[in-house]
Amino acid sequence: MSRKILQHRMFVWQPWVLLAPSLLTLMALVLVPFIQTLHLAFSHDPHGFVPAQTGATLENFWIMMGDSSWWRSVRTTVIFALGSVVVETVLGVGFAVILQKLNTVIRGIVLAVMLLPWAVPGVVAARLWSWMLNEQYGVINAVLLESGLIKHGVAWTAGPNGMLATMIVVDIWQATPFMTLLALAGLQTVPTDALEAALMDGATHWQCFRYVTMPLIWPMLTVAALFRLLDALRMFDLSSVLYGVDMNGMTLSVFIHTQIVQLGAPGYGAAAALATLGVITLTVVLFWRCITLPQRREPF
Amino acid sequence: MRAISLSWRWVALAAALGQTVFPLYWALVTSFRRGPQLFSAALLATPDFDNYRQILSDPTWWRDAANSLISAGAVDLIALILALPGAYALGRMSFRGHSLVLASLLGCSMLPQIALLSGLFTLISRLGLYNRLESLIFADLFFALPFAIWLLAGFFRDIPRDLDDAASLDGCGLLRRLIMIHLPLIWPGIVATGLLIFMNCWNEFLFALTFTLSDSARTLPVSIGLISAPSRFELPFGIIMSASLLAIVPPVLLVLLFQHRIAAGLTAGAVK
Repeated sequence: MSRKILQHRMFVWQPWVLLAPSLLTLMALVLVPFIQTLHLAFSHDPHGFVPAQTGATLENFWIMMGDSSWWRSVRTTVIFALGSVVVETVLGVGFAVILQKLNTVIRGIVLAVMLLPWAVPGVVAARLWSWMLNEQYGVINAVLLESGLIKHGVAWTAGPNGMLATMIVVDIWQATPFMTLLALAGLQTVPTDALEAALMDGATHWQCFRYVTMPLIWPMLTVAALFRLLDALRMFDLSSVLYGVDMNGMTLSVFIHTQIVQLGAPGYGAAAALATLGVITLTVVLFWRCITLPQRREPF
Repeated sequence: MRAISLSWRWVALAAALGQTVFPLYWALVTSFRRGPQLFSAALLATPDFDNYRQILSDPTWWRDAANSLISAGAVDLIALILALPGAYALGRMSFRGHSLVLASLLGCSMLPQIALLSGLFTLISRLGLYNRLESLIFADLFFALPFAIWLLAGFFRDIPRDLDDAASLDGCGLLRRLIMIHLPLIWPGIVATGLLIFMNCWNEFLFALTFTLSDSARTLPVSIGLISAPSRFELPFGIIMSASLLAIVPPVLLVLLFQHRIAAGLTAGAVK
């Protein structure tokens, strides 16, 4: 009954008046630039001192199809994002399981310390790791040399694969805390009596985890991983600070930024940005299918 | 058996904490070193604040820091003021188009910054904001505002309905309900949202690098990202590490002081 009173008191325009300031701001911020990007993607770029031709064109997209550095950025970005998100999720769940067993005070302290890398700007993270991985003076090479594992310093970021692996490592350092936090929140929703019942019935700890805990935290975990994936697919700062405009370690965001800012090709950059949206959508959809499929197949 | 699994757990925990802290610790050690000392791999260093003194005596560092602080603070304030009424509408009212608005907000926050870069660049130049701090504040709202609305709407939704009903039966209007009942209750949520936005803006690099490259509007991440030397082996690592550590003082302090709030905000952002 009381809900009806509320409904009577609320006018149709009320929510819209409340929403108007933020929605209008967002329209100016998102819609206008996005339409501008769309427009630019289908226009010609100026070449040198030759002003841009007028009229719509698909030229930018044709160039992109044959642009090997574009395809290389696609590969780098997708492998980076999938690689780091998978490792971060696994590590996050592992750490969360350990953390859950600690008492509340210690857990709070450990969690605060573990969150530190997440709070650090990507720029700083890139600087810290490139110093540690420095070929001649880096502490990682020094430690490995000292322990006799390697004979001479490794140039970690010399080849494209090393560059990619380095970015993944730095991202794991920065983003595992996020996954740990969310996995921990998921673990705390698992009812203890369900686990106790399973143990009573003779399940091992691993079976408990696999068949009771995992199915219960899976939905939350997948959403968290999805958010993380979206974030990783647009990564800019690590690649930019670590490798500048080096083609070998370039992610899509850096590629587009370079086109627009450094090379003065806003049209091509805009077209690449639209294509990036496509790459992101495709990756996310495929990822989502992969992680939700097992759940449908198995009767959890 | 039990003892083994227990000690294994402590080893894993120690490894997790070690890999978390070591890069920061090593930055601290490096920041105390200058010249040839930099190339020592000794894990300890005597505190020597020369690098810090050099940075802190440079007025450009203070200006960069002020720019970071002003832009992050301004974005935070504007985003919260704009988002609160909208989040209230989304969290406490049911109306036609409710889920459409929520879906488009989610879409906004999924949109990568880079997709808007060329459009925003044109818009900002046309507004005459290029190379000014205002442009960064304007651009940062793009991710701060949807995030704030989304998070706050979740916190509003969690307030029990009965409270509203009781208040409105007593003749309490919409505005008074918002100010007297809801705001005090979602205060922790507002703090969490504000902290997360502040940290995101403080750390933001892409927009800052694109829109505020001039010395007068530069922020700390940009100035740290741009430190370079003629040869890659001559980078002044001691200075870079000191500058990096100084730049992370605010976010690190916030995490250590408000760990519970931040954790709650992050969890809510992904779950709600």
